Amino acid sequence: MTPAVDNRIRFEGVAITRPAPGQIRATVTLRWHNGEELQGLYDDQDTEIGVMRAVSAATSAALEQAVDDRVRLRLVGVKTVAAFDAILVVVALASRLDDHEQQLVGSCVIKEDVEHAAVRAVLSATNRLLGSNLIYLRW
Amino acid sequence: MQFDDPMSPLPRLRLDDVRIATVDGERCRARVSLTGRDGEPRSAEWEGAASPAGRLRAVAEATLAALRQHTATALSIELLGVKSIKAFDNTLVVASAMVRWGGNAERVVGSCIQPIENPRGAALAVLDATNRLVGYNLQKAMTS
Repeated sequence: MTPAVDNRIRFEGVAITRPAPGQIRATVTLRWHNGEELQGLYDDQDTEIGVMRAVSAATSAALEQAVDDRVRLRLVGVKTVAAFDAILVVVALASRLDDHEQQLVGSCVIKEDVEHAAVRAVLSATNRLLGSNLIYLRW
Repeated sequence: MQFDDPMSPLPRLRLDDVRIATVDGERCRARVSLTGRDGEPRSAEWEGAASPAGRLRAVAEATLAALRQHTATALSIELLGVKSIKAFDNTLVVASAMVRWGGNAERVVGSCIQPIENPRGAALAVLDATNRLVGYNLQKAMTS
């Protein structure tokens, strides 16, 4: 297993609830290295693509909290792709920090379920942008 | 704002250069150069078919060969595949590799937005796939 690295954000969990017929709510929990919990919520349709969208958007919302909203993340799209004898979740985001805009893309093999893979795809997409600047952006 | 890695939590390799040339009518040769934190560039070459898919694979394999020079024997990395896909009104390059270290093995995947004719796409997708595990092993090597 990869050991802890202090200034990384950890993925704690993802939950899907159904607050109303035909609707789902994704709750994604991340944890800052000091134990502080970051939670993102997003509602969408109760379909497979709706779940992936909601999870990706909720993860983005939690990440924005991690940097006190100084980076804005907008979900461009999320989809599954069959490749290399596996199913991948691929996510595209648009990020904005001050006047700097950047398009990000991340991917993850579905190992457990599509929800976990969607969270990890967003973390993969933002890893380079936020990983290098996390402490700088937060303080 | 420069989004580079001097404060990165894990050491990263920097992609310096990617070149691809047609060797004869049917073959191509890719050369990829990566620099680590020691500032030492290391390059590797790989030959493949001169088709679009063959060029992607040659760049991806050359990237892994250059990467192995930085990680020595700490990691075993094998390319599972690399391909170009259309998504989100863009062309993405996606690469997958099997990484083995110690008693562990993990299948990783990476991606980047890049037109297929730009050979950097396959190299960046491979680095995206492997950066976490390579960074961890480079850090371990630096602290041991």
